[in-house]
Amino acid sequence: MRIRSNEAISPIFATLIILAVITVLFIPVFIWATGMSSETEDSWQLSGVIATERIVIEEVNLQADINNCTIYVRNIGKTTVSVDNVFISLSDGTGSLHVYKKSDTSLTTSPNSVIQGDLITVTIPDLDLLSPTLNQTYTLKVFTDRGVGDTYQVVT
Amino acid sequence: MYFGKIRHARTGISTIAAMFMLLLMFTAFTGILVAFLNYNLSAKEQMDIEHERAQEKIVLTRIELDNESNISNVVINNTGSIDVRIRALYEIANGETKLLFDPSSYDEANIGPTESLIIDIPSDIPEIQFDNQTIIVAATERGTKTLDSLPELVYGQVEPPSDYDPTKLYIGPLMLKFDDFFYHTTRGDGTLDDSDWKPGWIVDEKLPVKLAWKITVMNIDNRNLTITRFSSFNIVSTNSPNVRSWYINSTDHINREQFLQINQTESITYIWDGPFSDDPQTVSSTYKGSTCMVFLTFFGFFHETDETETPYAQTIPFEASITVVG
Repeated sequence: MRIRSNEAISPIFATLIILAVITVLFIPVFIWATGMSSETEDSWQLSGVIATERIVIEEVNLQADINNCTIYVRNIGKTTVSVDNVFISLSDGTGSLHVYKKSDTSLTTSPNSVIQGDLITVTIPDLDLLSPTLNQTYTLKVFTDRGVGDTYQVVT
Repeated sequence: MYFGKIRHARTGISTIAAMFMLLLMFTAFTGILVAFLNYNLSAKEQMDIEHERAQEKIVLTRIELDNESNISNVVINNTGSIDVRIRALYEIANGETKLLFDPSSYDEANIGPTESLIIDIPSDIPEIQFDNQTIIVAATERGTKTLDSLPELVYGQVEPPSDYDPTKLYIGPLMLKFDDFFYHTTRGDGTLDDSDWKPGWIVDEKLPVKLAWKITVMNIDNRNLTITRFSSFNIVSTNSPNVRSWYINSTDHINREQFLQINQTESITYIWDGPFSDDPQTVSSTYKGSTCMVFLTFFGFFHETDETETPYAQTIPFEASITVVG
């Protein structure tokens, strides 16, 4: 007996084949498109977090001929912050920039992170090559782990 | 025929593909839109924080010390237009900055606009010895610090405001007894007429009138004192630039000097219109209905223990004023 026609099957196969091809072709497009949108989304999300991140340096204890420094930083933003690094330099632009990072334990913070309104105490136990001298103006910059910072000038 | 059917079947496929595409685009755009709106909201929140911060202003108005010059409490005024919460007190002494404590962890630390807050130093905080070089700084939750102004220092227990003692309105050896202030009408030769001494605050006489004034002072220095004829009682009208002076009618009529012994209360009478004049001073009709401020100026010399004399001068603003009814 001869199968008269496979016409009834062909459209189904054809559909399946085309669907499979389209799906296969769409996978990279889908990944690319969703990836891009998610990157954009993440970028906006991060920008949003950074926009509400704000710290102020309230007081600084940096004294001449004393080899440590304490910085009192308040979180006045909406997000939880943790301080990551501190830059200290002479305000007149002379001398070198001294960088203290939490990652290399050249600074410690207490507590580790703070919510809005709370105070974080940053301690640099050893100023290393920075030797504060009397009646010098120093500029301190404190940065959070997301790169938000504040600047403070102190006269020793 | 066959290809026609395939072609016909593809119309269904394109619908599915289009749906895929639309779904994909919708998801992507929705995600981006939500993230963007979230960012906008965050930016607005941050702007609100900055706006609130700009309205904050606090002033440390008073530092109260106990008998051992330790700080017992501080008073902070909220001079801004928004509620503030004090979150830190710092002490800066000898170049060292120290965080003392967080007042909000001990007690209520919110201050409404135009209100003030007394922050007591908790007993578990080490005593804070105060000297003239010590600076106390308070900070709010939004990171606003007290302004750089010198607070009033108060020693000992703070008393509520009460009637002040006007006898303390002096800087110098003569202390004025504020309540003893009288006037007397005089004759043309400067002698007192038959009337009585009347309270000097209001002169109710027909103008012009020749007057004498009497005040009481005490020499609170540790040296005796003589005031000379140049010492005067001056009235300054608040209505016009009129100034009128009366010079002392001293107990020593020849030299017109008055000796004031240590710790003795003495009356001083002013009559003359000049230091060398024998004419009594007159309140003219231009003073009618006016109010006058009073200043006392004293010139003289101290009698030192080695019998030398040291020049002396003192001014006492009489604080209150007199009213000439006329």
